[in-house]
Amino acid sequence: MAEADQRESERFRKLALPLLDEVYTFARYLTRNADEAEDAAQETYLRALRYFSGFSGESIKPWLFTILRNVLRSRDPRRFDPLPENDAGEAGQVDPLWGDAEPDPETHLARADDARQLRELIARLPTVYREALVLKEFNDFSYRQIAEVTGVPIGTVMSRLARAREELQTAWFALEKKAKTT
Amino acid sequence: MTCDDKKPLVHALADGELDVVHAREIEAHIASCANCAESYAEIMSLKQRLATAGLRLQAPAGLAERILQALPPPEAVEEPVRRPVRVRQAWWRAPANAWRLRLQGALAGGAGAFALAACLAFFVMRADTGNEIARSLVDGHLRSLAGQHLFDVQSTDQHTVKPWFAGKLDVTPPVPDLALKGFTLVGGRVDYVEGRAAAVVVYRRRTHVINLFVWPGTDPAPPSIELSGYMLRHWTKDGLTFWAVSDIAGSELGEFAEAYRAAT
Repeated sequence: MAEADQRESERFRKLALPLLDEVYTFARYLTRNADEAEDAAQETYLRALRYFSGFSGESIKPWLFTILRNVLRSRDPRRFDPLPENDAGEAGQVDPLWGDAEPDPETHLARADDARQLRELIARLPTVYREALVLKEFNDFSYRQIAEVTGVPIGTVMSRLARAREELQTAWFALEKKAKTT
Repeated sequence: MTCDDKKPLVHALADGELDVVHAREIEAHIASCANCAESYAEIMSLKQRLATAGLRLQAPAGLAERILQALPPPEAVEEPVRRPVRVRQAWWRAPANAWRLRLQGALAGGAGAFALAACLAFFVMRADTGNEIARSLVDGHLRSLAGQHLFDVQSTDQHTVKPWFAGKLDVTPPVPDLALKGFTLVGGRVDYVEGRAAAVVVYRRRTHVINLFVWPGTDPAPPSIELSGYMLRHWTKDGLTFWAVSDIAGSELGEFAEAYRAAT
């Protein structure tokens, strides 16, 4: 192995690997499937290493997420189509999309339960809304970075984010209301 | 501009994306419009819920190894001896962070995780003499995020916030401008911690709120506490007690404490 390659690979490791949890988080929320998310994350890193010499060195996260998004799209060409793929549905009856098991009685505690329900509700958001929300709330992207990675104007990012939050909020209130009446 | 037009800007305010001029404009609008104030509070409480419910995930254990195997081996790089084998699988993670991430991962895992968190909380409770205060500070922090009472005085100008306290309390906390360090002053309020009045200086880091509680006295307490996912930092100076509370990472809150102390 040439020394230069070795150095590049070391640099890649230092810059990109600490982002693995974030990459996985995004992939998991976008695919809603643990195996697919893991595959996509792995493929992203292999592709990223291959293209690493073309990385300008400014900020690795948007660069890495652009590759991740391309990987996700190549696995499902219609994934990021702007048309909502499904309606938010009735929040009262949530079919598990996320794949979590029902909580067992011992851990039927508010916090774990909140997390499970929120994951389900996020999973039900149309992809482009879900994407904006996850990039903002779980990947700490700025509006400008979201616009850059998703290839839409900042105004579109803002309206998608607002829609995502509104739908999530509405679905959450509906669940709470249901919980109170049962 | 109607309220509907302002809606994306209310979100942008909550996300810390507005410049000072626009932030003030929207804050002023929120102060006078019950509708927008309600949306703002809802957005903040949703953000809070998303940030604290353990929804950020951890990559499966084997994934990092599989990716590492695909990379050229690190052996030829300097100081191979200092890297103990047993931590190799995660050597690229900062240790403090790794623990936090694992904990989050465990919480995200759902079943059984709450028991772990409960154990830890219990452990922390037993270990910390400052726990009663810590709980009451976290409660104050949550109240400030959930309700309308984040500020009594809302200003990014230190020369507005500091004199405001002087007329309200017998303590006037230093209000340094830490914008250059990445902490934006957003305002101040009076709050109550275990029955005593406290000055609260409110800063923002990106979208996260940092509440800095200040009151007279120098009772001993641990310098650092983590409680229910919130970080607390405590110090005393010039006869005053300081408690910083936030949901940002412990290291970042440490940075805040450093910056504040260096500036006062």
